[in-house]
Amino acid sequence: MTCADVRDLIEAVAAGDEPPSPAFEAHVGACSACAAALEAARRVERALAAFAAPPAPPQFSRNVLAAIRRARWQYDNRVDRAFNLAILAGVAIVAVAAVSLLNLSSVSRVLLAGIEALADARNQPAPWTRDSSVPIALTTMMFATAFGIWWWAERRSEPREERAQ
Amino acid sequence: MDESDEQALLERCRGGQDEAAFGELVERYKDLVYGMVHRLSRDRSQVDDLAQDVFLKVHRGLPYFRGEAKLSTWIYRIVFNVCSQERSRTRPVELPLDPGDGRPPIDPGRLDAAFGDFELRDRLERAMAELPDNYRFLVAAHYLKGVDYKALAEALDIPIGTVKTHLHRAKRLLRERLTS
Repeated sequence: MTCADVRDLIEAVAAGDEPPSPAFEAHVGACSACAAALEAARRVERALAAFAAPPAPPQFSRNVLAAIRRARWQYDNRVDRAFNLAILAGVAIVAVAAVSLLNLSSVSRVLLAGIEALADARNQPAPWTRDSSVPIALTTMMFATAFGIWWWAERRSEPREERAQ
Repeated sequence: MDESDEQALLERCRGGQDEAAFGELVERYKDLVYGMVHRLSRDRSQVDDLAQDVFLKVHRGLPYFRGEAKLSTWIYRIVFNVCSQERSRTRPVELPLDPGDGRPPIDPGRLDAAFGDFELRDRLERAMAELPDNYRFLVAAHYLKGVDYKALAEALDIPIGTVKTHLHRAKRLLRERLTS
């Protein structure tokens, strides 16, 4: 057995993972450098085994639970903010759509007036009558749908315990 | 705590609403986590925050923990990841093996027992700070908290033989650094 072979086994022998073979023992008995290395490895092994880890501070568990509550509160806040922004965006879209529809209704009135004027000129009845109820009904439906979605989402965001009551 | 108790505790924790259950889990593992983080982190002033971060990750991950590995094994893995991230973020703290005060390199085999052990531990700690992350984790977990080879192999997802080889290499590095 050479010094290199012994050096490869020193840590395993010092840790007790490998029993020293007769050849290993014979070499260590004859080679002072390998014997010193084995002794050094045993001291390192003992020093590592004696390493003491500091215990967690007494308030550690309380701090962890407080941090978890804080993280949950921050998460809930973010969800709330995102929900409110989504509602705001929804209302804005509905408002823009409503204004567009109402504008469309005035445009359509102008068009209908034109068609009526043409029909009068020919002494024929107009194919359409002036009726602004369709855009108004559509606008009302859109508002109703938007409020319906908001009400449903609000109910879903309530805590489970409250809903169970 | 036996396996069925641990399983019951896990079930209570998974709901997310039982704070007392998670408190029990923290109590059970706090010393292990804190001790390992203390040995693995580069910046000792960060130990409290890092150990807390480990438990926040455990809390977030519990609903997805399938229980294929032991809870402790999963926690070791989280400790390793959190500390590896911290080590990659922070610059290494200068802990020279040779403090530059004229003291000669030590020979761990020839030290006076009382003073020598103290001196050896001091320098060993410096030497450990320079080990690669996975070696450092293995040494800290195995010697600090008696984590056995099997649990270490599962935590790092490597064979037991590799765990032993890496530990022997780590200790050889320590010995060589102390005696060079």
